[in-house]
Amino acid sequence: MKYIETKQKEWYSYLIEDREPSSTLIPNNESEVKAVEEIFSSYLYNISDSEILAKIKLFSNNYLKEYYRSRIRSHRWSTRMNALYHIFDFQMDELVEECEQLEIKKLTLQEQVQLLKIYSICHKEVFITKLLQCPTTLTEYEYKKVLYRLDPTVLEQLIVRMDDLPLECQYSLIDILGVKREPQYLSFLESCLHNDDAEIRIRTLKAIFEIGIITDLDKYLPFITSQIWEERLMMAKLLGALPISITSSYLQELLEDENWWVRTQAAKSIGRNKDGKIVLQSYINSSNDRYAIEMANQVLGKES
Amino acid sequence: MSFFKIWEFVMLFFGGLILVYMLVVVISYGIMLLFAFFQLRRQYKLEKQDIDEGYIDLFFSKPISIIVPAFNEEVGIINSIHSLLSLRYPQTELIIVNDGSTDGTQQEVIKEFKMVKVDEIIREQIPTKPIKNIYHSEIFPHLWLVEKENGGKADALNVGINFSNYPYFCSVDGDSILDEKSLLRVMKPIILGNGDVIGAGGNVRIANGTQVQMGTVFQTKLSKNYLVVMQVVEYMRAFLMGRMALSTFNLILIISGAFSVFSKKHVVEVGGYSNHMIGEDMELVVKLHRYLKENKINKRIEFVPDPVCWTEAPESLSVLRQQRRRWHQGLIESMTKHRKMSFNFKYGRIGLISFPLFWIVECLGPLIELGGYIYVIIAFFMGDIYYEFSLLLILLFVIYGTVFSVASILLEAWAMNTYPKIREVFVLMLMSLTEIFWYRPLTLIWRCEGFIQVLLKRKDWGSMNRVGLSKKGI
Repeated sequence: MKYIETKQKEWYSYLIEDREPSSTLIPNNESEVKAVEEIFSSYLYNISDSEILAKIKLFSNNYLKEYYRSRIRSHRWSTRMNALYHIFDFQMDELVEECEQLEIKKLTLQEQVQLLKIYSICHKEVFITKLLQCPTTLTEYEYKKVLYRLDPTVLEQLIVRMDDLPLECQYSLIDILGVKREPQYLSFLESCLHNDDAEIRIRTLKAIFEIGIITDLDKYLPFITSQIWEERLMMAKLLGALPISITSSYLQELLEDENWWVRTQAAKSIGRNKDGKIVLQSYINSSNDRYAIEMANQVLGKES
Repeated sequence: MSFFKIWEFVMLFFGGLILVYMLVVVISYGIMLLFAFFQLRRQYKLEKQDIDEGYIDLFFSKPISIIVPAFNEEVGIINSIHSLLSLRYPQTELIIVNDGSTDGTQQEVIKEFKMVKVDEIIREQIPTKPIKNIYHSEIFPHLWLVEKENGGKADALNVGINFSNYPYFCSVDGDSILDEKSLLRVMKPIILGNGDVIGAGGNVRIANGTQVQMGTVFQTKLSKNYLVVMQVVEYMRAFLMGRMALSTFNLILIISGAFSVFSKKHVVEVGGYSNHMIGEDMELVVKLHRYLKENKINKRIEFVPDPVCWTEAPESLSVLRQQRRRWHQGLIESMTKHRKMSFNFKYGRIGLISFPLFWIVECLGPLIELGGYIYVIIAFFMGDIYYEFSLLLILLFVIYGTVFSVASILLEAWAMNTYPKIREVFVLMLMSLTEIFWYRPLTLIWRCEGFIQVLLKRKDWGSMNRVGLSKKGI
């Protein structure tokens, strides 16, 4: 506590104001290291800036290396975990070799995840190999955590190896491409639409919806009559991004779908369009599908 | 002379029965306590827990609908809604279900949150009492109010499930106090579980003596009320010696209805919450387990060790008595309804371990234990070999009632650091030493009363008392 109070200003001038670091910043004992950890963590959490990160990395590599080196060998699981977390956060690439040595022992799942995260930042060359070699399958959440901060070049390599990855990892990869919202992945995603696994197809549709670009509608049309309602639902969503003049007939088909969620989404997608109201109104006048009319009315009611 | 022979036989028989029972209980709880110890020791001083940090975004989490059933709660409802609105979670919707309140609950909510009537089509996946109106807040786009005919808490929750849009829902009692991280914590097993976890509950704690500051719940000081202190010890022990071990092996039968999360799809499959059951929260968990096993689905229901929810404990004997009778009644009702699961290989560990354990320890336990108390007193005066027998029993009672409590308190104080003041830890330990002389016999009597009520099939007490609805589960 006292360390934080007294050194706060010095750290600020080093990290933010670009002054020269003074040697007094170097922690001398465990509690001072803990204080430094806390200071670093709060900077990293509150400010996203590559320069600050670079300074933290430099400092950690220089002065905290020995401390963590001994800690990751600790027999206490929680000590090792804490050290691995910090190595990842401070991007201490100089400890990568020591990390690799840990793999000789039997590791817990959490340790493996953390190691993969470290490789994904500090040791990119081996990352994919390690990911494929990983003895246990991680959960989707963990894969997402591991893949989230991956850099584009590694991501590209991973896409090429897609078929070798465990299914959970494939799912996560597609989700990641969705949140990145970069059109460059579109052609890869479109190729996934032919995948045998329904979950992959559904997630791909979702990712494409996130990106929001459709180049060739014909590729997607088969999904409107898919046996799987989730695929039809995603189509109802996806079609909402296109002009109503093109999608009107497809969406009306989905409005009469047997599945409640698909009908609701179709009505919403039509309603979202500029001329959607007119389409819905004329649909109500001409159709005799009671449920679909009800749904259309609800959307109209909300808009007015 | 033959009277004495029979008497002697009876005394020996019951003595033996009680002794065997106590041994079984002490050993099984001992194992569970050890289990908790090893698990906590592993996590000791672990600094970082991603999800708990609160900077998790929607990409990693799953959207959730929060359902709050409300019946005549005009006093607290506004505060509850405000605290629910401040929960940290990327995507939620908040559904208040007004279960035909006769007071100003509805008007208060409409006024405070500027709600307007809207037309919404509700998909009735679970049959419920009719819905009258639906309101939508103009200030908070994710806040809804559903007005329905009175049908009880279970029915109100089912309406909320029908109305909800998201794949998971969270049920919250009106009187629960939540931390802003509560939802993140309780969703942790579901987020981490790859879709294999269909239900989760968390550690419920006693709110008396806590304070909420900036959305975080602080334990300010231990309650001065001995009854409340006793309950604090009881909750702590129940958690460390039961839930933690049971959860690891998917054996949980009770998840507190005060704050829990379930996968909507599966709850709809089992027909939602059951009406006309006292313990609708336990009933749901048992139904889910049954459904999973009968359909050979490999999914789990988990329990989170972190505190997720605080609830006001009864401060008077009469309220506590009512609560305990209701719990016991609910427990037995659920167990009897699904009795065919007991000792049934088809239901795996739930049938072979959880059910027998609950039958013996929870249902019959109070009867046997109370019998034990009476036995000790009689045997003590009869002298002879009974004297030694009763001493042995007393020893087991002390282990069961006191040693376990003290161990739990120490474990909790060491691993979780909830009671930072040494003095309070001592008060807790001191109080737990007195438990076997007053608190334990009292709760045993109340639970036996609940048992008798089930036999007499009386369901009429305390039917509208909200306090009795939040369940702890031992």
